[in-house]
Amino acid sequence: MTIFFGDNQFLGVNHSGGRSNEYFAAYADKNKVLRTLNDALDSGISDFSFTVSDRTVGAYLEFIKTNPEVNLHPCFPYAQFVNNKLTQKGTLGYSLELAKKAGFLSILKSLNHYFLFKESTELMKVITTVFTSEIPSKNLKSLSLLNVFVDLLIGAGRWDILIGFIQACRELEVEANFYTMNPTRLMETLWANGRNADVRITFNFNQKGFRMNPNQDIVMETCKRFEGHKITAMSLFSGGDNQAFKFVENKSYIESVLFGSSSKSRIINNVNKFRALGF
Amino acid sequence: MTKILVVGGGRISLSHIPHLIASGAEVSVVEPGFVNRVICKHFFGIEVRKKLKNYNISIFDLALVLTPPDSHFDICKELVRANVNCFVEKPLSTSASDSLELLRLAREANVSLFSGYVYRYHPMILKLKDIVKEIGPLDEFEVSFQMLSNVVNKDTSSSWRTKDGMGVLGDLGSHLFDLALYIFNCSDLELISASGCQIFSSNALDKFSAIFSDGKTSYKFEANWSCESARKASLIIELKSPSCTIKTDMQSISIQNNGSEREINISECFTDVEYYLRGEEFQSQLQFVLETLNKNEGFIDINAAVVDDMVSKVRGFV
Repeated sequence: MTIFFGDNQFLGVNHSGGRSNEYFAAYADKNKVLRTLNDALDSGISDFSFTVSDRTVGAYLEFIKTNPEVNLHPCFPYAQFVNNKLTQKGTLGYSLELAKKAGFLSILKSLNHYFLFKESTELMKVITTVFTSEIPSKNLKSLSLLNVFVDLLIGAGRWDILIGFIQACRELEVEANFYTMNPTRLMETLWANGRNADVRITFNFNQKGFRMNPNQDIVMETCKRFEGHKITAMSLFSGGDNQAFKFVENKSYIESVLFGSSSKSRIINNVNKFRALGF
Repeated sequence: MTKILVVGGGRISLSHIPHLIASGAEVSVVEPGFVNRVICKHFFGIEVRKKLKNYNISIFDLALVLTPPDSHFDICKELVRANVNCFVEKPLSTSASDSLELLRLAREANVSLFSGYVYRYHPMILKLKDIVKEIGPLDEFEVSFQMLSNVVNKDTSSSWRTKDGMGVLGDLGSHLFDLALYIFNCSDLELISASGCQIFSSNALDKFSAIFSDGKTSYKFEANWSCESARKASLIIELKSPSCTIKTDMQSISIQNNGSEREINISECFTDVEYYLRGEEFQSQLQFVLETLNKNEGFIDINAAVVDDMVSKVRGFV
């Protein structure tokens, strides 16, 4: 049972518009990011989940210099970052930039493999390398695809690409994790018939049923059927702070939780309460 | 099975096509660009052709026009004349007279014409509209709409977005004008003042502000897409009257009415969707389009043409 420390506060994600920009501006200073990471470390957290972006990677690399024992869980591709790149450089321009980073030969080889054998593991390995090449392998415990990409693949019915990513992670000996806003569809397909039990799925799970699609009842029912799998609850506090802990209490199918905060006292309080619940 | 033609396989098509596939529709794409054509064909595994004329367009129940705005008029005209219902990404066209002509043609052909003003389907906007209705008519009030983003900066290459005829006014401003019409059901708006400037673009506005009035209420609009402090597009709407203040940042709505205060968070709104990608509003928008067509209820988006008229007025003023 793991408590993951998230990074939404550093990027101003999921906060009210005004506060979002406030958080985004406040964490422009890398030292402030480091201070919050150290607060989380002091509270006993050792697993750090973060979105790969210009802002985060440098801070986490510095963080592990002084804390080499922590586990890193990078997530990509960051939609806002990719969207801005596409607006600035266009599809072709951004594709060329990525290809340059990955190495044209690797890209050609993996695309060749993809088009000839309809197999995406090599391509996903290259994409993974592009996003996470700077992170030392000893700290790298899992690789996560973020929800915009995962949900796009779900909608397009491209399960083969998700499987390609899982395979790429297995070859790199790290855990594969998927963030999604469509958890039922993903659980039903990925975990059916005992398959892919090594894969983690992370999604909204809160008392108000906020963004638990298609609805809270169905998501909870599906979770129960997949008890024992790696289910991580996030956005727990969308239902209100007090309800969050009560809501996950006795829900044995929730294997781990993910939260982020900028306040040291809040981080300590949350960790203590989650630990008391067995996380 | 509903047959849908997507005209334009660029970035916005990645938001729409998965919803269409998830709805069970048969989707085909027209895309002139090689890279986007390869992406659509191999990623979605659907039929993709280079030109509109490569299809017998009359077989389609619906077309989504997702091309740069200056091409909307010609493409839509062709589709409407072939009796195809159209959903056009905003703005409907780059000229008020072209948009009116499209409405006329759609009525004449008895087809529906939808536009992609997706904020109308956002849970916070739906809630705000309900609150405004619930509070009832206000004697005098002013409303401000502000949208900030950071998509055009020194690194941005020139594209249809930064060309004359579009700019921040057509891209973000059109959303703001549409929301004023949608939430407050206002009409006969007169332009009182407007200003704008270029920051990084050489042919289009990067920042503008404008005030419209219906004689009683003042509607203030501001947008800046070169705002360095904006992490992502942010939208703030604020209504002020002597007795009441309502403000939303799209995550929560605060209401002060006759001395009482309350706040509604997005997590308290209904957000369940069958399939989620980017936001509930995208699913709800296409669901509205498909349900309207299934029920054989005609729909002509008059507001979309009014928005283009407002955009033209501001552009003429600035």
